[in-house]
Amino acid sequence: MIRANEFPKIPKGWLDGASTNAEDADTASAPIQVASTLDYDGATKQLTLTRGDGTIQQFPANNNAQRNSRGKWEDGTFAYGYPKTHPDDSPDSAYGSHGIHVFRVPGAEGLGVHSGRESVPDQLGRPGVDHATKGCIRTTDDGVAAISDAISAGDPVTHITVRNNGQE
Amino acid sequence: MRFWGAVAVCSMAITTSLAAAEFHQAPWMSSAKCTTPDAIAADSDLARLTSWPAVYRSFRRYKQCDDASIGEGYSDKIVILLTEHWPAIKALSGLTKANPEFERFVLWHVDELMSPEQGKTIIDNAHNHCPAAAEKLCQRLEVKARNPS
Repeated sequence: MIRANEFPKIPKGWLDGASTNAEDADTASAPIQVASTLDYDGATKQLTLTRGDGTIQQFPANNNAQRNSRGKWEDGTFAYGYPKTHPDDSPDSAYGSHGIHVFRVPGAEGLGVHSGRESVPDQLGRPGVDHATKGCIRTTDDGVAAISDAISAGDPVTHITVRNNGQE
Repeated sequence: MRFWGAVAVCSMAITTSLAAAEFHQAPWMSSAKCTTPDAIAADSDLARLTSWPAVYRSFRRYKQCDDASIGEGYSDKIVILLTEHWPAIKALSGLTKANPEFERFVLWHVDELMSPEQGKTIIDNAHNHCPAAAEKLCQRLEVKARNPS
């Protein structure tokens, strides 16, 4: 039987919502994880991953956009988009060992954080994180692995904040 | 006073203009026409770009997504074809004659992302191993490999 406009009655003794009694506090369970955040500082060239539990991990990174590209990432905060891996992902490949994490940047497609070219120089002789990109932030394999780990651990990166990344 | 004010404004305009001119995107790229599913599909397609006909098909379908990481992937695959699969230049020559915009697309991706070694190989291939039917294309490839910026 369905009764409209009538809430189910809560039996006596059942908990309805959080208890106001301090003695009832749950201290045994693990704290609830909230989302991770990512921060790229163009001045220090550091990518900082702050996990939901407050753990902070830092990785070298750079945003050396070449001329025939959209240019450097503008300062601001951008929502996470999607991850993408490739069959040939490896330390020296275009995106590194763990693919790319793409963010939602207005007017851009495929703009994200990846690694790669660990020992392969670009035309200016720069390997590793300094190797040129077409606008993406390049970090280390460890940096991308940490982002992937946060996601698989149910602690997903919700956004990236880019700061001090003014176009030179 | 008014003169110096005008000079200052003009100077600022030139500085802004130079900053804006430093970077330039591929003319066929259009974020308005590249949907996120298109971008994901274009990225997935990169692994299949092991021949010029495959690159041409991807160009026809996804050139509007030639941006950021997808553009990096195109550069990677195109330079691999020009350095490790040079004999296929005949197929590229036929495709670029049929579609000049495809030639501009290929030349666009001979860029700063390639290694100095790859640049030298393209110059050597274009200069010393060019089939007769592809001479103009080889000349343009050599010029671009020497000045990839």
